[in-house]
Amino acid sequence: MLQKLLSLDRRWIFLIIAIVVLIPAILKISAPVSTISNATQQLYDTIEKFDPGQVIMISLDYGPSSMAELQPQLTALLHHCFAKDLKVIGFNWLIFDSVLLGQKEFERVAKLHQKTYGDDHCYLGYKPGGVPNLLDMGKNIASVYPKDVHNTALSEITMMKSVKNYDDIALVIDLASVGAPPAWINFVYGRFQQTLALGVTGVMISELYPALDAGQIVGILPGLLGAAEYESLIQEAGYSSEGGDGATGMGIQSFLHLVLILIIVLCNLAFFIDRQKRRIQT
Amino acid sequence: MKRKLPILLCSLLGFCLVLQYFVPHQESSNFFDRLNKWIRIISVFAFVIGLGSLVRVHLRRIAMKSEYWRYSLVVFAGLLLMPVAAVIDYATTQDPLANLPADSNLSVGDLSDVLRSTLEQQGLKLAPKVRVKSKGSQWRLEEQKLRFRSRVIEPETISSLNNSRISNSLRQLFTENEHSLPDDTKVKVQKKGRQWLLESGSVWYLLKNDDSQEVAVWGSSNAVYDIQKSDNGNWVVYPSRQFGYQGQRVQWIFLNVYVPLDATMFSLLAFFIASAAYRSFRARTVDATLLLLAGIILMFANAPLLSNQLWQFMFGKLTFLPDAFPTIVKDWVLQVPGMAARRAIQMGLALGAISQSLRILLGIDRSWMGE
Repeated sequence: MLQKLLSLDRRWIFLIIAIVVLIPAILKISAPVSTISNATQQLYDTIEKFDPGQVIMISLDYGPSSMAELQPQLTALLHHCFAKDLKVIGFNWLIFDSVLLGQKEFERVAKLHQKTYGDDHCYLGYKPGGVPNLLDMGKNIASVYPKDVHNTALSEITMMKSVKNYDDIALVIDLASVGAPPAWINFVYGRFQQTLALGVTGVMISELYPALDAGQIVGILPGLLGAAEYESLIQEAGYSSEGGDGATGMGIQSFLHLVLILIIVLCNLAFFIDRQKRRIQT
Repeated sequence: MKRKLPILLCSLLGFCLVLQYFVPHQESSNFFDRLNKWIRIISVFAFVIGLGSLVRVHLRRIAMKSEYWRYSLVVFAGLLLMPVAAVIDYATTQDPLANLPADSNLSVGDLSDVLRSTLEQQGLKLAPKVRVKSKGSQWRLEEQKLRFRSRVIEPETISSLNNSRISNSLRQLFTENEHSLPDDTKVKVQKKGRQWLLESGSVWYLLKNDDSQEVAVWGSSNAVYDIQKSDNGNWVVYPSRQFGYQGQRVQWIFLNVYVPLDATMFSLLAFFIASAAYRSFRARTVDATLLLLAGIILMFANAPLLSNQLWQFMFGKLTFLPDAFPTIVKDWVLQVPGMAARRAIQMGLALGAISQSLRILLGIDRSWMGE
């Protein structure tokens, strides 16, 4: 029995995981968070202090593969920024996959807050070039992005008339699933002292805490939990009444983590009993 | 010479860039800007090389009928699908919508009533506010925001939207504000929290019922039209030419094929992680036990149903424990032992990167040349 448990066919585990994910997803079981991590609270507090009209720049460095974690973060951040009458610029410097994902979400959330393209938000799209683009934007954004994603010159976009470079941007938020944060920290914070914040996938969090502790970034949204925490904060403040994907995702994540913990505990129990038996036999 | 020149160039430019960082002079800054432009231009060629390489590899596989060569055909199908869809998008948005006489008085600003009525006579219904913009030798029409707040109306005006149809009183409301709603069949009604979103093509309206039972309505449109001069001198109005990402077909393929496929591929990771966790997450040694404990603490704290509800149910009576105990423990694990280990790793990486960079600049490491 123990040996059977220890060498369980992985297809049974796949089946259990599928059921555990599908049932909460179909039933839309959400799990709102009641405690907020420090990293999320710090980002919320930073945005909360901004005056209407200040400009936030959101860099979307993720593709569809990690949108389950990062798209809810984008949605929650946009709700907060638009509700506070902040102006938002979206762009992609690393991954072109996310242009449409970001653009659509900008348009959708902007509609809900009665914000107009060009006056309150704009989307610059993707430009190849990597880190040199980030550096050049520190001098002149229009030198990297002469036109927005709709092919309109930046000089014709109302909100961009008062934005030349990082000096005119209150906060840059990098939503990343890949190695973009070090580039922002090393080059944009290092060279221009730009205020930075991050939204990252769960597996990236631990490597970014040193930057948070050192004050190089003002806050981090840690994975899907960060999105759910941020949704909870903005809903409590009345900035958004829309139920977010973060809370729904937390329902699925909770059940999945519970099953994973049970699986690991069960496996270890079997392992210990088996080892004990072997010792007695020898 | 074939080997020395690239090494010399690499060393020279590398050391110049290091020096540039410490020289606060305009010429130094100009040099840096120029190099940045070069890098940006060169990086575009990576796409061309990448595409060429992809085509070459898969053509060879098909030609040699090597194992799984049929999958290479799928690669080419995917490779051609998006550009073809983009071209079709581009070509099919060119039907003229309306014409304006050659002597039309087009000028930057609001669209004049005369021009609006000329366009509307030809069936081009525009949003109430339209801006005219100059675009070189052409003109562009951009529909603008609509906003009004109604008188106090009966509550069912909004509640009737539950049935995804538009009540007569809501139609009346729009008519009173000099705007009309299209047929029910053409309007998509969605509830967004405490608001309602009505979408009809590119035009949308947002309805918000506040406590005073007034209905605030905002509307906007993304519709953009280009006005170009035809051969006979008349101005012709087209839907704005939308290429690449903006095209409907490209958008559809991206959102309904690429996004689900990419997300599915990544989602498979959950299954493999679960299987791997079951097989290898065993407390065989002290190190493995510590890793196991840290993993369980993080998984527990990152699941609100466990860290809040289950924790309260199981340990709620232990009042000596602080509120949100699992989150506090998780934060401690990440911010104290986790961060200490991470810092050590990052410092090691940084020192390694410096020594590796020096080896490249001095021509000792030539792996970048394929040696």
